[in-house]
Amino acid sequence: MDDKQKIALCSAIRTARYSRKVVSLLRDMADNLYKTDSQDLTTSLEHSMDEDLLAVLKGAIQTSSEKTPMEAEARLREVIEYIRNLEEVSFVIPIHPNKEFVKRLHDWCTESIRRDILIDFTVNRLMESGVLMIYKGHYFEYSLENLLDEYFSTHNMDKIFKLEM
Amino acid sequence: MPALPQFDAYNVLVVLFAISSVSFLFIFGYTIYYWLYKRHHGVKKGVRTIDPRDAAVEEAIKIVDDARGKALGLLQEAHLEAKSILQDSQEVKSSTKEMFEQKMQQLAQKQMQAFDVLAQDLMGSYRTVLGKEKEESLKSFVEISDALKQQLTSEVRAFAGSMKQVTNDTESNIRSGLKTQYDQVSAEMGNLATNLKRITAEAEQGMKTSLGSQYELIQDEVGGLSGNLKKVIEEAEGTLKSGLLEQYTQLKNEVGSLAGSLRKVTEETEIKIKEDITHEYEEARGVVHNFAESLRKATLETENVLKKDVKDEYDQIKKDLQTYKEDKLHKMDGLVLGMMEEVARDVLGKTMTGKDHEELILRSLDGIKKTTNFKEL
Repeated sequence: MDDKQKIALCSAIRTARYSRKVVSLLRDMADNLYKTDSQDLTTSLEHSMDEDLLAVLKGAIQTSSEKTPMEAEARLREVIEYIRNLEEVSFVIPIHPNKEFVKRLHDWCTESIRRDILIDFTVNRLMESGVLMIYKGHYFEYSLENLLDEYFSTHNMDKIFKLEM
Repeated sequence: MPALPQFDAYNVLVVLFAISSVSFLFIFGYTIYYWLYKRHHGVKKGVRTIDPRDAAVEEAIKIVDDARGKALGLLQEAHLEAKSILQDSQEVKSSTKEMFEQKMQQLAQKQMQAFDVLAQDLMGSYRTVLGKEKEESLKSFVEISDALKQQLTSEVRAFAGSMKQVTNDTESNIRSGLKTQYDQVSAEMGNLATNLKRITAEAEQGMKTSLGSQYELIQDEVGGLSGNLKKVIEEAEGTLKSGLLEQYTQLKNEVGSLAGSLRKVTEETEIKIKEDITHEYEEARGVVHNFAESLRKATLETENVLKKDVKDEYDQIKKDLQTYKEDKLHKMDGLVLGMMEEVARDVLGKTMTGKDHEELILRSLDGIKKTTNFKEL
């Protein structure tokens, strides 16, 4: 699996939760590789995965040099290990994210942090707004409380009072 | 071994029938009771039956509306309270500042007046003490000078008296000695004249008796001799008188020179004493002047130290008041900020849409990106 395939695979998976599901499916596939036809297994994956991810997985697993089930298993194990070892960045946010927002967040992470990374979410309804990001044990709190504290501590109070009045 | 009870099909059927009968009767009775109960309440109240789910929904809407109204009321009250607190805080700030400045000016004036009074009292007391010391020093020096003058004058007088006495005694001794010698010489000359007269009488008598004719001649010769003798005596007396006068004059001149030298010595002594007294007076004056100068310096130093202490104390009080003021203002700002934050958080948190949340999250992440280098983590 080359770097391009790795980046494409990571971009197709995006979230840590989905990566665990993909890993589970790929392990099942590897375990049952000798029992059924690989074509049947690929077909079964079509019902469980997105089209983009499936296309990337097919490109990563099936190569022209594969002749035996053992080689296919080695490729599968390699993909599984790669997905398992991907770095994760966690977000605590006050709303449940939709697919589009997940993509925007993942794009931000691949542009800002590194190209192959997965994101994870925890929804905290008690948060008013903002975000808490956790990466490699570092906490970056940009919640509304903090933003307001920072805003009121750095802005001219007379100006604020005049606006409020 | 006791025999186990045997189940009979008849007994089982009887029991089942009894249970079914009791159940049927119970269900039938409950149905009748429920029908009667509904009928009774429907007829009594004259109200048609309402679905309890609709009632619950209406009740929930009513509760939500009440809660919303109360929340709006609370929010308006909080806003008005914050506004009044802000106005009060501004008024308090300005009035407190003016009052503080007035108090500080009054305190500064009081401190300066107290310091002036203190400095004047200090200078007055120092001047009084210095004048007293000066007067006492001058008085003691005058007394010492008078005492020295009196003592020296009395000593000079005593010395002059004793010298006069000695001079008088010497003069009287010389006079008495000269008188004694004069008397002695007069007495001897008297005796000599008496003897000569007696000899002359005896010789005249003899001559008269023995030498008749030559008596007259001899008488003339004796008369000439007597005249010569008288002349000699007068010459001797004059010589003696002139010698005595010369000695007297010499003695008088010696006593005069002695008195002159004594007077000179006395004058020199007096001049020296005066010079010494003047010198002592100048030294004492210098000492008093130095004392006054050192006292003035000490007064100035004390004044400076007092000024510095008062200034330090004033600065410390000013600093404490400034710190107190800043602390109070900071606390007030914190209270106002907390209140505004609460209001803003309540308002913003309840009115933000999902899109707003997403935009805020992405803006927050951009803020993280600007301040953090993820490659170094």
